Amino acid sequence: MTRRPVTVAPDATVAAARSAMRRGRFRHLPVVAAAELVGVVSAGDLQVPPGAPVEAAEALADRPLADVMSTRPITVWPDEPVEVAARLLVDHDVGCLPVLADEGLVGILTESDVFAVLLRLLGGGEPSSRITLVLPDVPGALGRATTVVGDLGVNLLSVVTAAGPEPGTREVVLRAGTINAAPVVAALVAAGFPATGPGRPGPGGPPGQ
Amino acid sequence: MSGAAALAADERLAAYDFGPGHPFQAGRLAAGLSLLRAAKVLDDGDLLRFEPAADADLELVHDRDYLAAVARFADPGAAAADPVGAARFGLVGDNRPFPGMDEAARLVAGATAAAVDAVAAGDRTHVFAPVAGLHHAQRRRAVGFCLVNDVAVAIARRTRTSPLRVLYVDLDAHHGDGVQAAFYDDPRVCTVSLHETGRYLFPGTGEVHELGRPPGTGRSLNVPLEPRTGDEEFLAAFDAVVEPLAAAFRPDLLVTQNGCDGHAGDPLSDLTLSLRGYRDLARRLHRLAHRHCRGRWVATGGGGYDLERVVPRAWALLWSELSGRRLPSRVPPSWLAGHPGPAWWVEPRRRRREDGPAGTREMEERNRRTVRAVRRLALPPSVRVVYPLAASGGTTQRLPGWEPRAGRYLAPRGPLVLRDRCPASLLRRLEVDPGIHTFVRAAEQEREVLARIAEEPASEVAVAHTPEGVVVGYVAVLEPEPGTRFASLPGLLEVGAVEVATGWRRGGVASALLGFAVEPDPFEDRILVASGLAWHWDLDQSGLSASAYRGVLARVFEAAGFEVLQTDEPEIAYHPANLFVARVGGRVPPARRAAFTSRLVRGHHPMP
Repeated sequence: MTRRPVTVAPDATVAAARSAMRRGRFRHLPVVAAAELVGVVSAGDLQVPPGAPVEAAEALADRPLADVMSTRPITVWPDEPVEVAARLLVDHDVGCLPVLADEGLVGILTESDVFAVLLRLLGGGEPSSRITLVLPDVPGALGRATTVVGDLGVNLLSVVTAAGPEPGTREVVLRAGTINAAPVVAALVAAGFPATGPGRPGPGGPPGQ
Repeated sequence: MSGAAALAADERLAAYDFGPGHPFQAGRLAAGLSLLRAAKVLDDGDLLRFEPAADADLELVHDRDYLAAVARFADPGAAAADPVGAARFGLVGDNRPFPGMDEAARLVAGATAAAVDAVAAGDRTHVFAPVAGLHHAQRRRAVGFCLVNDVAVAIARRTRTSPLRVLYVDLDAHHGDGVQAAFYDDPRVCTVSLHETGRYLFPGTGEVHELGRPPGTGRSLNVPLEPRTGDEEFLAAFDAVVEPLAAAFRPDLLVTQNGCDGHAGDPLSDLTLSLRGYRDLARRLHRLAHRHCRGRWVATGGGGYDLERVVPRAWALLWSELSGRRLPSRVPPSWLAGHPGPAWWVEPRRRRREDGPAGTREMEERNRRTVRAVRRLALPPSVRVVYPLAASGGTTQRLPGWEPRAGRYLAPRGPLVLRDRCPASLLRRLEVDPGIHTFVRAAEQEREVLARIAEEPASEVAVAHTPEGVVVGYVAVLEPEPGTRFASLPGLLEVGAVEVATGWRRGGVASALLGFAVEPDPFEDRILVASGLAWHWDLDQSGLSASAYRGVLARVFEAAGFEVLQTDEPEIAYHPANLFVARVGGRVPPARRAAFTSRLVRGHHPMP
């Protein structure tokens, strides 16, 4: 989230909010009156529909934000897990969540913030190889598979799992911290876990670690 | 075409050895050097002297505490006692510590630095450093068998003290992420990496839109190719991107990373190149060095893990190309006795199968889309025209004829003649003011470029020249490159270039010439578009900021009846100073105008 976000008052104009967004390079603004969160405006609220007459655009620019903001916005606590925040964004089809603590508004969480977390969770920011495997959906299967990888001396940067292609299976995407993924894939396959990944068996079998 | 060449390698580099069973081991060097000697293409006089790199040089690219960690964990006991501390710097797994690794890494960096020094100073024309090109190493982390970024160190040592412009071409199967990162904001070091896409392959980066950061935006380029890409397509991508990029960038020095791990037999990638392909790439790089860098070329070995069949042959082919030494017709039997394998240097030519394995067509189509996107981003339109894509298959609609016109314009510096429909023959007779240096080194070449644009059936060139016949400005109207967002609209043309020589700027020449160029009646049936990408602009010469330059450009176009339009076309939207303008002719039917307008904003960006 962004801490201590820029805020606007409900009697500020649409034009003022637009210029605050342009200056700060963001698209969501909490609206605060007397230290109380009273709404949010997003960039979309500040625009006329495409094809509207020029007069409509001019009239909108002078309107107070109280007329266009979303009142009673969905909010979260600062200690909420990210998956809860993500579900609120999706379920309510909103682009941001003001973060409220006992003392009032402390931050704002936007879709971009959730994406940044997602990128970190998926291991996409570090040099790594992507390996996909399908496991039986039973306790211990994932542990056995990751042991196979660890025994090769390869570090795992991220492990993401989801329901697999067939009932009773689980699909797993690993980001392995190695440039030499073929031996990892081969070891997984040898251990009975169907796996795919980049690279191929070397000229005289996998070069192994 | 070769001058004195040198090899920056000797047996000391065998110290860079992660041990038996590891893909990067001493055996690589031994097999390669022994093949060069057996083939009698290497004399002792070819060997370049080098010493381990100094701390001060390594610290240009690496943090001091990282270098200290490499030294500390070079003692095998230290790494065993503190595995977590070693892992913090990436010294684990792929980059497991080995005794003496700090000294070995210094030697690699020293070899590359000596190679770059020798070429930059003119002592040698080309140098090949086979155990070098450790392109993954980061500022404070060992990555992908790379302990130090020798290439970045060697380049940084020179660019720090001299105004050298360096083109770095990375052909390794893996993205050249470490070198890219080291120069991501540096406009004088242009990096271009051709590699297997990072969707699955290590390190996972190298997307088309990784373009650099100001002031180096547009100087980091990436061509991510599909798994199973082979010789033909790899070479096509090279031709479509690297050659014109070199022409546009005007490097003083070419540094290449010639990793051969994209070979079909290599265990670490999914590309399917052959030694034939690597030989052809070496030939192209050699030609490029002489065409654009006065021959100055440093090649590094990079990756390659088919240690017996591929790597030694790939090194021998590259060394032969760069040194001008001819390889014997067959691999020497004496060498084959210790390294069993075929007697050929490159695979026998196979007949190309009409239909490859399933998915080949889709793979080819994706590669084509990628290459087109990179060209849009990397190359000004006038460069793209001079280096067209093979078999572009555009829908050429020649403008209906009109008599060539001539006009006059009185610039503050003197009178000018404006001419349109300039035929190539006329352009070849005129001189070109040396102040026009869009993308080639010499005015001589610039004239040839103009003539070649004029020879394209669908393009028009208008020039402003002095009464003595010296061209001081030109406007080129071209057909848009196929595959771009507006290209398929019938009757649409692109203003590819508006250039005025430095000494003649700020005198209204550009406005006058552009207005003159688009005045003829046939343009009333056409939509003309032009885009300005900020990193193509001559900001150094003009002394303007990108946004001020944009303003100047917008006024020039507006004076000629163009309108500045908002579009979410990804290339335009990439940088806030980028500019898109259009001029819809008076006789363009409303339906066509609407079709154009509806393409301006699409709301989502289907990525190539």
